[in-house]
Amino acid sequence: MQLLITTPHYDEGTHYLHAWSQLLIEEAKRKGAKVKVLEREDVTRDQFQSYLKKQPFNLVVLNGHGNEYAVAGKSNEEIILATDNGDNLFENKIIYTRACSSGVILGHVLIEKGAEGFVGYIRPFIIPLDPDYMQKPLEDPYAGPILECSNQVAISLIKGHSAEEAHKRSLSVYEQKFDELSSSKVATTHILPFLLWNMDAQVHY
Amino acid sequence: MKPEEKEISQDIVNLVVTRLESLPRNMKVSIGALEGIGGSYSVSELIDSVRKQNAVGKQMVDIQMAYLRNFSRRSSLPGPVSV
Repeated sequence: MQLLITTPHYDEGTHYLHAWSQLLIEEAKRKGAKVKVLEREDVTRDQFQSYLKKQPFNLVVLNGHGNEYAVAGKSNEEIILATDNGDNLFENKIIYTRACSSGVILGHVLIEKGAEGFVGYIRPFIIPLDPDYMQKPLEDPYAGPILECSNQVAISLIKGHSAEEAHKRSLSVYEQKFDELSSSKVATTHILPFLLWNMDAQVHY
Repeated sequence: MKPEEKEISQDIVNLVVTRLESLPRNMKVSIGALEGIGGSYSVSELIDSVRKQNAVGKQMVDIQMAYLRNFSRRSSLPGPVSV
């Protein structure tokens, strides 16, 4: 297993994705995978595409902002992958894009261009958060359940499961969280609409 | 159809505002979109957006209404039968 993962870090959303991605990197290393991490200012289109051309990664995980056609890197202006740029670099690779709406068009294009599998979202990916936890995002009671569910996609892929299986396993974690939170009286029940939104937005091809 | 293209009834606006008013005041919501609605919003900004029916507000309406529809569907499912 060779994993390429991007973890930009320039606003509250990417701060949380960056922190929760550290768990994925640790898991991949624990499983013996070769891991290349592009983080913060290093998440540029040139670096990203250069690594894809040079090394035989079989799993690519992208964290960041996105839309139907593209995913960004170190800033909203730095588009590292788009339907007209870099979409031909994923032959026989599985891609997970934890980014808004990338499942609408981009995911289909990647599959058409030879990708083995794709998991992403067909609507905006939403993270509720408590700013008091900005220094310890892994402990944030609002963001935690949602990012744990989405992390499950990448963890399953790291374990060697297919995109379809990773998607299904993630959905079952979403269902568990939904049931747990629905039956509790704590403030985290307020995140249920966002949890369900992300769950329903997740797709695989 | 994109959220900003929809017309929202005042009843739904009021319902969603009421639901957002119940959110913890310390909560923020990050939307990871590249453009337009992308950003992080406080609860009061979300409520204001719903009242103004701008794109962020319409996104919140979509999220809350999808939840209510789903919750209603789940609640109407028959429970386990005891014998």
